Amino acid sequence: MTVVIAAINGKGGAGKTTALMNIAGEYALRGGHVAMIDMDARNNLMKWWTDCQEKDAQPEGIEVYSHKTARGLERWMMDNANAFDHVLIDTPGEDTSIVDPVIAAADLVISPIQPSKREVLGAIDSFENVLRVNEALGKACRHGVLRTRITVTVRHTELYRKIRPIIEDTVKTYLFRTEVFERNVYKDIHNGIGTLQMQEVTDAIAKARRETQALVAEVDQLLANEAATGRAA
Amino acid sequence: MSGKESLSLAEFATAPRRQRSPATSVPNRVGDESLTTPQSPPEATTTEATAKGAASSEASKALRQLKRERMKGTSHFVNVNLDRETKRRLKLASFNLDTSMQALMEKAIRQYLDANGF
Repeated sequence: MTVVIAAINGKGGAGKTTALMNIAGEYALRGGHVAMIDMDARNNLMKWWTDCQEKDAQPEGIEVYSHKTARGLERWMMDNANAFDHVLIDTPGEDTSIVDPVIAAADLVISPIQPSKREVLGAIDSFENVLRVNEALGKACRHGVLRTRITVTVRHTELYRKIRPIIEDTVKTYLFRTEVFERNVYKDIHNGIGTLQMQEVTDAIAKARRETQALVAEVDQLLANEAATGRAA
Repeated sequence: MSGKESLSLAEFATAPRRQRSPATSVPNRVGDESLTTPQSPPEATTTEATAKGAASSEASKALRQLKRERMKGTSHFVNVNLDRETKRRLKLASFNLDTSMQALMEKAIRQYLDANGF
């Protein structure tokens, strides 16, 4: 069965595209067939893909498509989704109604956040959108908040400490245990050098790889739980 | 992420890069959508289309609602002209009560509005 994962946060620069690229690379490395869909008008994902093509660094097992409309997405999902093990959807970093059809198609929505108030609020909005679409369509799409671009200094901030109680206790959605650190390699990848998993393994890359493996393991677990509980959210 | 104990680089496989086949130039996927658009929709889609239209207007309605909710929490300002004496009293009160003039004015305005049933 095709697993559909979307990255949604109404605030730009939270790390949606990066998170999806890393997850896609991991699934592709395992031999999966992964489709990535760019629904962001800024085309970050598609630019990365064409840059990769120019540098002859497109990864094996990943295809990238660009759809800017709900209809385009729906039609693509109907015609092509079955051919893939995983479909990862990148969305615009702004409040838009286009996220509704994305949530309707998704099994899991990941909202990446940096420890900043606006991004936490953006993630909460995304969660509420997921709840709304779930209720309207009788779906059980899961939602998780992923802390990204973490640095040593940011971990000492008050907001960082508050994220867990806010997300888990107040908002009551899932908070990924894995944190994605701010790493140079994640920036480098955007220049079109393929996926993280294609890079020669150095100490720095190994840390990023371990982080990504932990994240994907958590994603798998979240989706497996969903299957086990009969899609009861 | 408790990775310190076993950071051996050999455990990570490197992903292969795609072999570029010279014959088939990969078409730019950006075009996909526009290529398929011109197909005329079958007649039966009209009810489906209205349902879809309703769903998308529902989505934008929810978005507007969200923005309105967000506005509720934000501050809205009023500029008040006071004579020197009133200002002095207000300042003194805020100093003595160890609170801000803003808090006092807010309370006073609320009290007035509540008392007069606005």
